[in-house]
Amino acid sequence: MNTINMPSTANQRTRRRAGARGWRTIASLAAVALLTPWASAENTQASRGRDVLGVRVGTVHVGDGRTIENGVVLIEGGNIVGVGGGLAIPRGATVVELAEGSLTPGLIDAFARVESRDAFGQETQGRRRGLAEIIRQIHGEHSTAFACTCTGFAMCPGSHLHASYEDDGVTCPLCAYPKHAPLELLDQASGLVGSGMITELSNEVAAHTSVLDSMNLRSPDLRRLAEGGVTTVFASPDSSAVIGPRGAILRTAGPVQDRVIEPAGAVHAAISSDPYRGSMSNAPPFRGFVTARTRRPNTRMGVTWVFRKAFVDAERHANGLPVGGAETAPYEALDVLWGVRSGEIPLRVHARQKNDIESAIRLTGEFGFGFTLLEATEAFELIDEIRAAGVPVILGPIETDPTGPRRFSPETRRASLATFGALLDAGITTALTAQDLRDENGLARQAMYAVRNGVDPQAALRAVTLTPAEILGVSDRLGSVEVGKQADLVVWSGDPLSPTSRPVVVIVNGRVEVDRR
Amino acid sequence: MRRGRGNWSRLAAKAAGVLCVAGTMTAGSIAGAAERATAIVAGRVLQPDGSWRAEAGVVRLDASGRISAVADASERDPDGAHVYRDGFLTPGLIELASRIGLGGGASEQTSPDQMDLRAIDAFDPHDRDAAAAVRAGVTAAMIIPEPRAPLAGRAGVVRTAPSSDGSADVLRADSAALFSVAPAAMNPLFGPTSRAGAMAMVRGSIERANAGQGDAFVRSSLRDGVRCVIFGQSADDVFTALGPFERAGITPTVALREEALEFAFALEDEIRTMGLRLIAGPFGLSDRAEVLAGPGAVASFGGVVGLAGTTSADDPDALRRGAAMAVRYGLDAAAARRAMTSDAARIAGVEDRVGSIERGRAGDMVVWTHDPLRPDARVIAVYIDGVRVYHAAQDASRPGARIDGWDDRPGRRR
Amino acid sequence: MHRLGIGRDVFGGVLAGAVVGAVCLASDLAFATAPPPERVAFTGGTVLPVSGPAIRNGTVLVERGRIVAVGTDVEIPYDAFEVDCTGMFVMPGMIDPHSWDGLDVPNESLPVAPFLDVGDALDPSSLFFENALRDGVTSVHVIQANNTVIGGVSRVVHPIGLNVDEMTARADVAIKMSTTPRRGSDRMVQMVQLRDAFFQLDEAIGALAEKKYEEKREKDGRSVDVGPEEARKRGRELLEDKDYDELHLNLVRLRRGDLGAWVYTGSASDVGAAIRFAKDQGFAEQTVLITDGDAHLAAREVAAAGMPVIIGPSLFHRERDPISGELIETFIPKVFHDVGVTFALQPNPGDSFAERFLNYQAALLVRQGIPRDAALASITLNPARMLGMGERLGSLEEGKDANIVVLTGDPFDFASRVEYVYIDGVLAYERASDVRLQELLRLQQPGGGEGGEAARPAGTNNQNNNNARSGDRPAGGSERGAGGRRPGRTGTGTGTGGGR
Repeated sequence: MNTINMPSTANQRTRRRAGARGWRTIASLAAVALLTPWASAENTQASRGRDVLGVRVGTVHVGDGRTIENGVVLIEGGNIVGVGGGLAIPRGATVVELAEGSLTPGLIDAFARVESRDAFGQETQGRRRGLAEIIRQIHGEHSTAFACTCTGFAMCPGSHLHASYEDDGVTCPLCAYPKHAPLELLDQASGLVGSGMITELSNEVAAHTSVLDSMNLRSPDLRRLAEGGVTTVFASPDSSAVIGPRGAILRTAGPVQDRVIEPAGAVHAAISSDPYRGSMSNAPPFRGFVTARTRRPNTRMGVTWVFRKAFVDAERHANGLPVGGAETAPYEALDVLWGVRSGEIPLRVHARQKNDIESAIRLTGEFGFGFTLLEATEAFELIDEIRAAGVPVILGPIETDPTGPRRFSPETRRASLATFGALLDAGITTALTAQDLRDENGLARQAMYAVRNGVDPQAALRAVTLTPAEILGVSDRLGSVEVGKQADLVVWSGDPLSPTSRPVVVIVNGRVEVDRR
Repeated sequence: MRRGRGNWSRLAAKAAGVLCVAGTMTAGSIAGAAERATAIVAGRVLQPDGSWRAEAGVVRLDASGRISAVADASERDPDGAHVYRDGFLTPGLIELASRIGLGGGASEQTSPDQMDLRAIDAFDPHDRDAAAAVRAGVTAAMIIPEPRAPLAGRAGVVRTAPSSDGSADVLRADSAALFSVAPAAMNPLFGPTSRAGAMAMVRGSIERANAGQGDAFVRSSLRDGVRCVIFGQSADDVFTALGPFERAGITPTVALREEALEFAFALEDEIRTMGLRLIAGPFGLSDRAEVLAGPGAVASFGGVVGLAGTTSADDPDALRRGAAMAVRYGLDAAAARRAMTSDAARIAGVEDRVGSIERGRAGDMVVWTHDPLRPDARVIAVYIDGVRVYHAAQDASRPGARIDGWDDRPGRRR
Repeated sequence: MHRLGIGRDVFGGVLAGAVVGAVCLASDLAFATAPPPERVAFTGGTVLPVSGPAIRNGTVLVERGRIVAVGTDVEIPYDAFEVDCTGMFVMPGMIDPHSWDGLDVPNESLPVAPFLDVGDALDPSSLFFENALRDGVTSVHVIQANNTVIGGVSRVVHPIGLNVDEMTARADVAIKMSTTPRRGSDRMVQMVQLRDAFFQLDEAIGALAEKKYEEKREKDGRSVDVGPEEARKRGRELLEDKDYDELHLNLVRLRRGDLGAWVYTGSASDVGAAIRFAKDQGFAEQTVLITDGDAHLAAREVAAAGMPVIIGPSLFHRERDPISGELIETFIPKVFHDVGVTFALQPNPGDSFAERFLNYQAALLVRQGIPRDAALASITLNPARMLGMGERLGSLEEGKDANIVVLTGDPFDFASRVEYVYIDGVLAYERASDVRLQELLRLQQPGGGEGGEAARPAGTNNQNNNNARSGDRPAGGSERGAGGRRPGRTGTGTGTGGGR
């Protein structure tokens, strides 16, 4: 295995090295110029062979629809410095070659929702003692299936009584948690989540918080994404708050200190029943005093009300007017929302049903700012409206058995396998997402499903590479195999969208991070 | 403060004597005036680096009870010296993140911003836990309110024995600002309910302080990393919470308690590059090996470790026992002794006053029968400001408490 | 309960009639029931016989429900019905080797119940069978689930037919057992119950034998002349099937080798117990192990015992390292493949979208480095042999049943769809007539769903939209389009050329 330790973003180091080796470089350049025929014009900066990583494959999928046969990609300093068919690789360069393989840009998941539950529903073993483990210890084995899914001992002062509440069929009067909800949220087993919940629930508007603060960047689960070919993700909160935290754009591999591309990205909002349904349900406040679990809203009316009020309050607060009333957002959140209104901070809205998508378009239209639509299960009902509103869509996952928060939501029952094709045909910017981390191939398989349901393979590939990069605003650096972009690449053992092929080499920021040869 | 009726009668006699004598009284207690040692001679003396002096040593104290000199014992003991020929002399032990004297109170959870909460306000120097601590050789403690909010409160450093007038003997009030992103800091009533929410508060507080606004106490604490303590339940909690401090250019102290201590090894980079300090513990007999190996790991990375404990009247030796467990699982003995003395003082921010037997420090010292890391070590005498506040030879509190035969008269060394 | 006594050809005719009837219902056709063609020729496609290498532009000739020829230059009789498979792949019907979805309840609550027969609980109208057909599965081994000690007898059915008899391809295939403790029980109790069942069997046989001998002596007008031991020995030779009662008959047949033993081993420690028990009781030769959990850790034991294995349904075993917290993934089929154990795959509908398809599960094998031939065999020939039907099913060879699946592309390409399914030489499924599939793929138009083909701009993004287009045709369209068709017509009209 001939990997090469490329300096990641250490431009200073590169420059220093350049200075130190200046004369040697000139000498070797001269030698190269005399001895080696120049390759194509794209091979501009690959002068020092030793620092170069060259990848040669059967087919290069650029990401924008083009393919290059017998493709060669040259990488230096973390960036792509050459792309072409039959391009010469400088002498001394490290070579990765897979004649029957293909190369794609690193896949990008623009809605990688962070879950506190382990990606595979695995039990925590050993050190990471999740809350579920603690519950089992105290309550005993019998209650694990039905344990109160309040975040339990960290948060509910009466949690020690929950066992008896289960038996008596009474809901805890303190946290008002409905019993017999599935034990979904507690396990810290994924290690992706720090202690406690992911999304701040002290207020329905938590735009001043960032999901990155709840994430464990060192979690080995991020590596699973890299092994599946996903090199960049927008780590997103779930939809438990109406206007929730801001997400973060992350690399899935490489030195931890270099992983964060954008610590506070778009604000995540939800126009759906997620903020009040299922394990997030807010019991009526008469049950006890108001806690994080007994707030409004309980209905879509309430969700819309919170949304509208937050943006109205943001304007008031920005103009020095007092804000008040129930569910007033904290000032810091209002400041962020004012940034959304002025267009500085992007907003994304999670909506599945037709009426929710309509609400989202209408609400944002009232205030005059754009947004990105997430999941959009019933988007096929509103093709013209979405196109007219110029809203990009992050669609998915394509599935027949919903998992995670979608499992108990009735909003997914009218999903259609042809939605993606319809959106593409209408010219709507659409990216595909796996939305959770269940399987290392989640995102690659989404593209595979799309092809099965009639979408052109190149279009499907674009939807998991260049399109999400465009939506996230990083397409100048990521999303396609082009000179000048960052070297996030995946070498597949065959056709990238075939179930028989797998990622063999994954390069993130110019470094080989996964090598299965 | 001495107990027992015999002392009171002597006290009365002394008081009468002093009143008769037109002499100056020391700044210490009336009773202490007669008990202040001018010098202590001991077979083994602990050095600031945690190792024992090669030879027997003599520690001289000045009139105010401060250490004036430390030297090898000469052939002849100074007049009036307290001599413990076979005794082990250490600084008074210092317990960090302590609950001594708080009587089980000081666990407040009424607001996410509790930075105004002061442990000092809840401290009762006459609490039986404090008295037990003195007898167990713990002379000072960094007391904290239970961290139940992201902005958790203010620590304070006190002596475990009351001052001469019976009030709390405060070494340093409001010694550190406490921050927490552990699950215990979360609250369903008024938030935060997630670490993101806790971080938003911590980050906001630091940013406001850096901009010259916000809480004055936070502002002043941020000037010196020792005055900021972060509580977390996992390594990732610590990494996340360190961010805003790093950006402000300061290195806080990290407190990892109980189960969280097993993640201490993950902080290697931060310890090596930032010089992170760790408050480790408390831990008990049933803790797992991974937990108990935490302090050793940190020390091996070059980090400064202080020990937290649960010293109380029912468990007076908790601090020493924790240190011994840490030694058993990898902390070297010198570092363990430092963790209870000089390093603990450093972390608490009072190293200029207590924590080591050096010139200029207060005369807070303890004489032991053996190295205090040994389980069979017992306290022979405790000195605070040079005054012997506890003497095992006169301890009649329970059968077996009294130890005879460890102090000698000053005279020629054998 | 007993082997079907009717002749195969007659049976085939009955089945054919049932198939035609079912196809009529499924495709909403209304036309006179014509007898299916006696000879069918699949021409022009890539043939995957499984028993040999792939044949490009190959022909499979079927006569009266059986394959009579496979090759490149097969002479096609003038009256053969030709199915044009140009651009498509022809392979043996896939076999689901272990399923209880066709039953109403997966397990009887009695721990030891060898007298049960799944045929009594099979529901031919279950959507499960319709889906099996849609996914290219031509044989389903219906068997009890895993929460048992000794279960009942299983059978292999075609997923088409109006009643159990019509569906049955082979009855009395195997007895289900388990060495994994039942829910609420533990290993010691489980093994005791297993051993006890056979102990009771031996006792019962002994008593029966003794009685039988007595009766014989009585009939001969003599008295019993030997001790009980010898009487039992002589009596055993006289015993016939009809002498045994229901409780014991199936176990006797198991001992005799007439039934297989399919033993569920849900963890590695259960494997050893199962192998030992099978050897002790003398049915190791007929034993098939059903693995689950971490049973692959005992792969070498299985290899040494020479037993085949049903894997799954989940092909990955995942666990967290207790120290590092890292997720460790093991691809189970590779473990068995590397030690030379013969295995078969199950569909996994509980996982994501793709694993419900057997050919996708097999594609995962190729992905992890197992050769294509072995992967293909694991969903066709291997399960056929394990079911004792290796002479009839599992490959495209002369003399075998004409259970054939035609796909729009390589079975390991996920975009390939099942186009036709033939069972015993009769068309059982045709995608163009699959109303339910069209429903799934149909785009719902604003204002109601039944309108004609949507006038959508031709998507430049969407060149190969053939699949969606064919599915797009509303029910009325398909009725119109298929009205003039008879079952068995070639499939060229439905936009399937070109594979993807």
